[in-house]
Amino acid sequence: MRKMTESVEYTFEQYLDETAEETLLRIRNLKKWYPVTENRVLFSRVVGHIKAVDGVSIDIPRGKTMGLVGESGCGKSTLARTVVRLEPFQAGTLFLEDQNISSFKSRREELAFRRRVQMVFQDPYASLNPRRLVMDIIKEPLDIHRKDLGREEKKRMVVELLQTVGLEAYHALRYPHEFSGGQRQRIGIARALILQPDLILLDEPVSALDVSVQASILNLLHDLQEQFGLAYLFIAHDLSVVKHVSDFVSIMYLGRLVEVGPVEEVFNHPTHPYTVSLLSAIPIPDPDIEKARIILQGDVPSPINLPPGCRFHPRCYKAQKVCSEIEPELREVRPGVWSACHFPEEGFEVLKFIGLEEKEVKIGKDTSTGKASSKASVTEGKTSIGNKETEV
Amino acid sequence: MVQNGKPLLEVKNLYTYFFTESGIVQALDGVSFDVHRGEPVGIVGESGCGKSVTAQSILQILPRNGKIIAGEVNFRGYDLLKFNEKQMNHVRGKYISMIFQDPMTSLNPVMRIRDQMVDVISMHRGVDEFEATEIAIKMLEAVGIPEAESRVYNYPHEFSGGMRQRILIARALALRPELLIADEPTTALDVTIQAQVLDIIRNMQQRHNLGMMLITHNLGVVAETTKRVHVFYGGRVVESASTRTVFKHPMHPYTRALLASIPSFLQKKGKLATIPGVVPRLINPPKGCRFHPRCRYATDICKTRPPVVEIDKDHFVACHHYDKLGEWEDEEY
Ligand SMILES: Nc1ncnc2c1ncn2[C@@H]1O[C@H](COP(=O)(O)OP(=O)(O)OP(=O)(O)O)[C@@H](O)[C@H]1O
Ligand SMILES: Nc1ncnc2c1ncn2[C@@H]1O[C@H](COP(=O)(O)OP(=O)(O)OP(=O)(O)O)[C@@H](O)[C@H]1O
Ligand code: SF4
Ligand code: SF4
Ligand SMILES: [Mg+2]
Ligand SMILES: [Mg+2]
Repeated sequence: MRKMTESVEYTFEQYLDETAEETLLRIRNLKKWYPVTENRVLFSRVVGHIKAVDGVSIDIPRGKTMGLVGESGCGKSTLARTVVRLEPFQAGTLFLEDQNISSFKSRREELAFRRRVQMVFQDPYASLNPRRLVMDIIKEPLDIHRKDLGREEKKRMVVELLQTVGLEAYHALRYPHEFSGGQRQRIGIARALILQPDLILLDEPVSALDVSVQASILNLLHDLQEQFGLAYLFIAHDLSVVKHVSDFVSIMYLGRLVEVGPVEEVFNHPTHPYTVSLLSAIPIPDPDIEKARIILQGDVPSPINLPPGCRFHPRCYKAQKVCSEIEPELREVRPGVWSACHFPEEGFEVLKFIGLEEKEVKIGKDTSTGKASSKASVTEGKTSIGNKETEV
Repeated sequence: MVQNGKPLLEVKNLYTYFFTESGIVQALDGVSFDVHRGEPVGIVGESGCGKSVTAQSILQILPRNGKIIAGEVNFRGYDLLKFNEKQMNHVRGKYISMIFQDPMTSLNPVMRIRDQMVDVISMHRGVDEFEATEIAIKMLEAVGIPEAESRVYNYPHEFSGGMRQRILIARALALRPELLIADEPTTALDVTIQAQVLDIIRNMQQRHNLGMMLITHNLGVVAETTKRVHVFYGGRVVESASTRTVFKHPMHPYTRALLASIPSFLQKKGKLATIPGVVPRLINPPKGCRFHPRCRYATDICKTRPPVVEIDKDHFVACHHYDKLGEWEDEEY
């Protein structure tokens, strides 16, 4: 029996610290609160806080992708913006390898950090300066960080990079408005790449794009990771996309992590009721599947008046009395999988639940195995939809 | 699903152009399709392919620079394009309802929900204000707005995005339309809220035996909600068939490419199929088959307009090489 008290002996942070050899970026107990003010005639006073990020710890391993998922307003962008230090934060620590980067002691330290950690923003339309040539947009980080390079050398690097991201040399002399959404996203990625960073935070890099454009951007990110050993924090709300690009995943709900682990583990056998609800809500592009669903009642609560206890309890299908009294901490529910729930699911099989499992056995023509764990590999490298294979 | 009898809506050879400073945008270039009573139909395709313009053309709510050049929009046997503005107003209120992507812009922010519903209801259903209020409350309850009786007096901003979209569904259905056009009704919503709203749309469609046009670029939503699909590309319908056929035996090269480029929930980390080239511009679009610059099967003949062929019962494709598509189906796109 799991104890329902708050005395957790072995914390998620301890676990992360013990498995930290491969870690590039360590985020520990990060808190970012926005004050809510009430404006009076002569003064304004703080009447509360939006706890946008409320004690989050995430480790991003070298050369790997951490997916970050959660509903609108749960704090994903705030987390990313805080990590790249576009915004100050209230509490927590940040480490890049062994170096504490929570506060920069010198301009040099800050520059060194920015060179290694870059961000690509959600909106490819708003994030590029419309009055600057693509050449200058991509070159700008070099102008700041690589004063050692000559002009011609920098230009050569920009052109090379344009080709790496699938654009042409002549595109350098155009303005952002002359490009489509997918092309602009490539420009944003080229800009993030030019300093050869170790980590890129990608905030919904494909959400605004069409599927065919999305596919080419995702492939590009995949190739760049293989080529340069980049690590990504990949924020998205499309779970199929997240599953497709990530090695690990963190599920966030109202400013806190509710479940963390290897993506195949978490998505095939979720333990947190919120993760289960999310996964059961994905529309599956296969008309033969009569999906079972858990349709959540109610809406995402306001982050100003957080529900007491478990933040998910007003919408949770498993909620009990204790859930509205005691906030659950992350606990290790299986090796490597952590879940913040008093009554985590055990042995839940998403594929079976949403009716995909049987089909998957068919895809690989592999009838010998009935276990989900060996399944995903059966479909590896194939597109299972729109492909005759699914019919077998 | 094979339907007999006259369709509820029959769009025939519709051409809609936009006149802009940089040229004529051939947004719809001979679009034809049907919607039957009680049938949920999906309109899919990538950004700019003409999905919304199709809806705007049916209801004649095009922006000023847009013009229907040719075609027919037959609704219950009448050609709506021959209707005057007054008649169209009647059709728009009573027979065809539309739900838009952004619920905030379709609701008046300074009016209570009740006031935004009651007038139209009493006008189109010929009931008095009290009865109309009652109908409004019932509809709000049906779409799962809690405490509808008191919340009907709230303003739009007092509801969340998902609730606002549900309110719009309630308002659209309160008029008892025969055709519901939903243009990306869940695109702005979160996954779990999207599931709620789609569930309500599906329920309502079935309960009221509505003809429905669901416009979306989300193929998962289409697979779960519709029975027939029309795939758009560059202002034309390139493939039409039952939803099952489109997903299981897509034949048109574009449909196959599109389906192959969506990440599947079953795939592990890896690469996706992509379509080379870019979405066509509709000012000076590619000659002939609009997909030919990106199509791996293109030949010289593809520079002329392909015929629409029924390759199987109720399965239409617009492709010159319709007779070879069956052979190509097994190739990976
Ligand atoms: N500058 C700000 N001032 C006040 N509140 C803010 C600010 N930025 C974000 N918030 C609030 O913090 C919370 C988290 O916002 P954030 O943008 O991080 O969410 P998100 O998970 O990225 O959502 P989305 O999926 O919609 O992009 C929200 O409630 C938001 O309203
Ligand atoms: N007012 C307008 N003036 C000029 N061109 C227009 C206008 N409205 C639409 N278009 C053009 O008509 C074509 C079809 O547009 P439409 O809005 O139907 O696309 P859509 O399929 O709904 O795309 P999305 O998925 O992005 O909503 C596009 O090329 C678009 O640029
Ligand atoms: S702690 Fe309780 S309310 Fe929270 S997710 Fe678990 S079961 Fe649901
Ligand atoms: S007509 Fe030609 S270019 Fe068009 S889809 Fe068919 S084969 Fe491809
Ligand atoms: Mg965001
Ligand atoms: Mg549209």
